[in-house]
Amino acid sequence: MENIMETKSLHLYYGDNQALKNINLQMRKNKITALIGPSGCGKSTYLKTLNRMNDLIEHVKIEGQVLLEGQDIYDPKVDVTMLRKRVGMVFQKPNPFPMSIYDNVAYGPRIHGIKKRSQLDELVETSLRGAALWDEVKDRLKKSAMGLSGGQQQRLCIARALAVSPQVLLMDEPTSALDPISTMKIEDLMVELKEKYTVAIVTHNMQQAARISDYTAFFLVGEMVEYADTEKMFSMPSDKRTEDYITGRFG
Amino acid sequence: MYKKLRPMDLFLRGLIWLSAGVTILMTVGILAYILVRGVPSISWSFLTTAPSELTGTIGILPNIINTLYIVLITLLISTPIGIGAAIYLTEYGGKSKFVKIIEFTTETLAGIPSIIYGLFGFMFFVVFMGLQYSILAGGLTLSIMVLPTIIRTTQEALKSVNPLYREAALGIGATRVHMIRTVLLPSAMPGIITAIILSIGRIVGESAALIFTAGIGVKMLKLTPAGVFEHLETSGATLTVQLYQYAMRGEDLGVSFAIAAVLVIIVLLINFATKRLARRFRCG
Amino acid sequence: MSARLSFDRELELLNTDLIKMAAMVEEAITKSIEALGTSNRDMAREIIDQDRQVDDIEKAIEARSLRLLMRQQPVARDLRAISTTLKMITDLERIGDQAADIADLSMRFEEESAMQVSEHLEAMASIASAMVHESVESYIHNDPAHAGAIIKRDDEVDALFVSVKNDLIEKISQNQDLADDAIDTLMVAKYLERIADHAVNVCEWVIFYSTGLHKKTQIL
Repeated sequence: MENIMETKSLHLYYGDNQALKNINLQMRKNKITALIGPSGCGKSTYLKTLNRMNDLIEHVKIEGQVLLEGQDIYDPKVDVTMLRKRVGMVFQKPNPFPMSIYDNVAYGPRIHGIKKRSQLDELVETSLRGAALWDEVKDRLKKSAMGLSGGQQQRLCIARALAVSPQVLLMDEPTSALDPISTMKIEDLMVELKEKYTVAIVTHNMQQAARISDYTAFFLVGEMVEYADTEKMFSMPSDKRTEDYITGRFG
Repeated sequence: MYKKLRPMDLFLRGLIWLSAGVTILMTVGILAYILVRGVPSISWSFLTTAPSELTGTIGILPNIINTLYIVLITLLISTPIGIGAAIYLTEYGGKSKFVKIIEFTTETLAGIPSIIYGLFGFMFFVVFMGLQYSILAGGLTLSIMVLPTIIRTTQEALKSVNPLYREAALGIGATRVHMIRTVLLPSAMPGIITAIILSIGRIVGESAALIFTAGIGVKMLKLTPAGVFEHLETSGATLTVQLYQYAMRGEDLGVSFAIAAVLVIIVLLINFATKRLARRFRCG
Repeated sequence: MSARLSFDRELELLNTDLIKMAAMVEEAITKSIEALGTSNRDMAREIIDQDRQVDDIEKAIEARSLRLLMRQQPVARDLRAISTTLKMITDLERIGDQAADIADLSMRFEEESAMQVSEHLEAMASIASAMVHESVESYIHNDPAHAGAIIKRDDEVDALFVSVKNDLIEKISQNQDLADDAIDTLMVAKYLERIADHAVNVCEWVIFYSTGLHKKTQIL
């Protein structure tokens, strides 16, 4: 089994506060890894370390290594723009830009230097198809993205992330703001996406983690308590705290 | 389940309606009064000539031109600086002491009476820099005066941009500058336009700061390529300054009202044009 | 600790019902064996009547389990508890049926009781009945080691079945008139053998509940 990202004894501090303690996690290629745990357990923080979104926050200190195909992404020589091209992110609330659907999807490719119209057209179409949105929006690509429904907006954000052909897609509670039907569509999409991409998803919805993920990591107060095959995790977790959490008997 | 009379609700609703009514009445009333008193005195020659001692006619064309000049110069100087400063303060400055000092200073500057700007402009631009009474000195002075307004309003506009956009842009690999240019500024544009409109209002309405800096000249603009720039060095009264003088002399209130009417119309036109321009900018 | 009071209460009720059902089944076996020894027809009829109550409680437990699956979407230990319950009630219900069948057969013996027809039948009955009792105990105490030990006793029952069969062959060869009773006795023995098998099944689910292993394969 090939690992695409690997975290080695990662510690993260917000000022004097230690938010992540000694995380060791190997993310398998073309699999969905779910990160679960109660609020404030560090799972979102961990997700953000994977494409250095934590760089934006002041007073963050990181120790240890995060490797993307063997290369340390916190190496000072690493270009963050290139890193984020390879490790894309989809956020909790759909956040399309107040521009047209087309420009939203083309935003990333344009950053990375693609200017040719025909090339952009093609990328926009394949990305929207990849996000299962093409048929719904192909007749209104020039219309504002703000006119889409919440679920469509989130799929647009996924298309926007796909447009730069990332290897890893990080999703921070991508369905928590959506209705059940949109949620199901995005879950289906994620399962399709793992053919080409590696997906890491933070979710509060345990059923969601059980439904779609291949591996699950359980976080608790900054520590990774357990990391296992999802089926193992949801049937015979090896740690008592994991069992208490997934069966909803958490203190 | 039947409707109940809630006296407090009724009372408060009444107050709200009253406030709205008073506001509308005052605005419309003042506008109507000015237009009714002023428009009859406006004539074609009033708008298109300079005042002449020879014929004893009064014309405000130089004042109109001076006003436009000063608005233009002031905005050309203050808008880029103001927007740049606002971007620095909100996007780069963080929460440092330096930023707090700048913010405090801007707020203080916004509250200073314009006559003080006039005195400063007179001492610094007119005397020290040797610009003499000139439209340029006036424009520079007003640039300093409207800068706080532009900075503060733009800052508010930038702060009110959905923070999710920033995350989204950076998360896809945009640099900060690219994010500001492609996402932040377009989204903040309505707020920035408001800042500019507010500034235009202050510039057009200003008299005290201009009398000491741009002076009270009424020279005509020479329509030659050089003349357009030479005009900057001449002393020139804006409409408001001119209005102030006529009103002070108290000779001909009709002329004052006519100028007032022209001012109102110009302000309306400028605001309208700015909004059109902004819309063009956003779409493009 | 518990943040799921109503769910825990439901699980507790499920457990109580299951134990109640197990007790009913145990009683049915004990009584049917007694009826077999004493040819007590009233007791036999009573057992057959009571089997309907076992069926009723099985339906109730089944409904409660399915409702919990739907509403709580349990995972891990909770999921094993409910699936164990669902599987166990099937075996218990079968045991109940077979006890009733034995009671039914007990009424057919006229001159001598089944116990007298084959000398090994009594031992077989007592081991089978003990296995049911013990398997229920191992469930109540959640004791997979105990359950494992019970499973091993199934071999004794199987051996006794062969002995009973030999007894009966000998009986028939001595006296053709006893053929009818002998065949009935063989059926009783077969039911007892089945009962022991179901007790083994119960034990296997007890082991599954705490280990996720069923017959040595990880099924959850």
